[in-house]
Amino acid sequence: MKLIKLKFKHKNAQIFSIDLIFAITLFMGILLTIATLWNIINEKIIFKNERDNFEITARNILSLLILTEGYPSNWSEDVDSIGLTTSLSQNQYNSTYKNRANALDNRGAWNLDVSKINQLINMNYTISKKYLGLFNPYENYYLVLSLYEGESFQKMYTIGISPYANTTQVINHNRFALLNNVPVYVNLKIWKECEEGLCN
Amino acid sequence: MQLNKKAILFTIDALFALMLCLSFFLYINYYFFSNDGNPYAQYDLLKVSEDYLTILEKSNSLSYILNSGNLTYMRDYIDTLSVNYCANLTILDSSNVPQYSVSKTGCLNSDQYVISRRVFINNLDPYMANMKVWYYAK
Repeated sequence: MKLIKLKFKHKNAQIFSIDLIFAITLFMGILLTIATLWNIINEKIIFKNERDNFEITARNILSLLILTEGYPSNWSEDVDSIGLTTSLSQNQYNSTYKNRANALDNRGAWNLDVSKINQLINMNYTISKKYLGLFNPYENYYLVLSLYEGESFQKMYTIGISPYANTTQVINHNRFALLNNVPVYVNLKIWKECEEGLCN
Repeated sequence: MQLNKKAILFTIDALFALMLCLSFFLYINYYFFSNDGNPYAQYDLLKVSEDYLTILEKSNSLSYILNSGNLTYMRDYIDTLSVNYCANLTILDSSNVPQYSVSKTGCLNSDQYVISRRVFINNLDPYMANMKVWYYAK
């Protein structure tokens, strides 16, 4: 009887210890799971935000290029804003009639100017990136203008840097415009280099 | 041997809390990162429709179609749209009577479309062109 009593003297402590270990293990497991999931979800949020910003930027850039003439309208090196459309003004310097209805006009929005396309091609790439709203040195653009030639669109002008093979973030956006009365397919790719060789 | 009832309840509690936490994170993961497609899909469709119709009008192609009735030219032109897009171009007169209608080859109708409209003048008469664009569905 004494032996039995001795044997079961610390029965609460024995069970408590096992239970404590189990609870601690469970708690650590929960903590690790939460920490891991937190990091994963955080990275996904950052990635998605970045992608959303790229989507908006791509659309803004194309609208800027095919709908505006830039400022000044005969821009070259010294420029405040880039645009590829023909100028609406008479003196080719500043447009004073931007609000003129141009439905029957072959100038202005959607009508591209070859000389401005060439200006953009000749412009320093890093500078042109800033004018288009790409301030991160790892962000790049690749603009392709293809002319309609009877049955299909043929590539005519390319501006910028084509995405690298290992690029993970590439946004593609297309619009249409006119060049000397010929339909043009305008394709813009915004992409991000892997920063310091590390890709997402 | 008596069981430590408080300890057992504590474990159940922890298990319940764990399940709750995991459910919460799984829900966040699913809700925010499920593939919901392109959020700008409708905007892109509208821009394609608007651009295409604008350049047709500015290049006098709409007048050409009205005057020549050359629908083959129009269909060839619409067929150059990317494979992702389907389109239908309809030209109506001032009484809203359709004069010509052309659809991209190989496209079925859809109820998820956008329409852009443009009014133009041909031989002193006003006409309206409707460009309906939707995504190609297999």
